[in-house]
Amino acid sequence: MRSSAEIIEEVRQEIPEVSVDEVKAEQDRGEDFVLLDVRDDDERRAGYIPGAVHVSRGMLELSIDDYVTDADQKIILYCAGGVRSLLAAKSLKDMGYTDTISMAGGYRSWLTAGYPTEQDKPMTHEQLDRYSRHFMLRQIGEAGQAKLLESKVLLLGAGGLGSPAAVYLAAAGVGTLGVLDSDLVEISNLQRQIAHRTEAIGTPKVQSATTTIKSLNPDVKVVPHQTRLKAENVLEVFEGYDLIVDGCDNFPTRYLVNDAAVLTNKTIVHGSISEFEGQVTVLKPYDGPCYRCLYPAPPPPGMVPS
Amino acid sequence: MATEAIKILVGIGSPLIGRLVLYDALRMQFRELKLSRDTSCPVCGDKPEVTGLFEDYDAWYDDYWVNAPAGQEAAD
Ligand SMILES: [Zn+2]
Repeated sequence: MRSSAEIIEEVRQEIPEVSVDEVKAEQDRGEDFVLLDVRDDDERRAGYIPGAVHVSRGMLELSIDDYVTDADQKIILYCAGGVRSLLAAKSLKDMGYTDTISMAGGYRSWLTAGYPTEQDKPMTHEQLDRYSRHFMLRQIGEAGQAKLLESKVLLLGAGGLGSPAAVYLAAAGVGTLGVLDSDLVEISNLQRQIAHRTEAIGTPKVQSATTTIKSLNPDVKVVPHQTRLKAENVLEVFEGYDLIVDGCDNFPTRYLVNDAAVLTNKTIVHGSISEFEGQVTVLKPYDGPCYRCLYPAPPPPGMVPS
Repeated sequence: MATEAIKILVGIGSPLIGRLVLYDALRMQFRELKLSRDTSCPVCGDKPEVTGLFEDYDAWYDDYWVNAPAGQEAAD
């Protein structure tokens, strides 16, 4: 049997190592490489190197192709002290990745050098339980959940489309949900608009949706916008949101939302539904079409997207 | 819609950019259409005509349809 020291010595012959100073310098020069944190979740919670992708050593072989698809992509791996990253780099090399490098001294040396680190807002025990099923999805994990908790999504309309989106996004732990609607809850809404309850009939939809969201997930901050979007207020309302979920129910507003989103470079998740048919797409300015690319002229009155 | 939002926020998978998914609940069928950006689009095209918001989108829409000249038919 070979000792671990022997194995490490062997791998050292095969896998190049770089110092933390070199990694920092390469980052500062904007060089193209993936910085891969292979430590465990609890180690990462205490802090990580900015820009690093996190795949714990145990999940590495299973998950690496979610992050790196090009076998010739340069990958610099780090762990706490520089040993696990060396072995992990060897595993990746054996899988066919050609340019894997280990950061000598690991995160500890990075800290000693006084280089910048980042830390996700620590989650409470309750949050660790609440989102535990997200953590099991390797593409989400704690890092993905931290992103969701920091995200700000604006829901246009709290009706048939906005309601389920609001409920699911609240459950998933999107940190800030803006809800925009000028209507009051009517009994005929309740058959499909699941963000509203019988007790809420007659009250503003934004207020009713806020109550539902808060009782589902107190982590979510709700920003009610009890108004109708207009050219005068749209830019102000959009400000600060990362993403717009458009479930609005009339064509003039759709065009307004589209134009404002292109002008402010915000992505729209766009849905519409009519009777038994629905459609969904994502409009990301300049990356794909906008609403006007698809419908240069507005559809005539009588066709109602709701 | 919520799933698409979550994918975009977390930065995973392939978001529905340039694709439209149509769902028919009666037939329980999904169809997907490829969509591409129109370089002559008035808003996001190479030479955009719309570089700011209109003053009043309701009025613009009403002008387009409600006050449309007689004989103008609804496009399909
Ligand atoms: Zn366009």
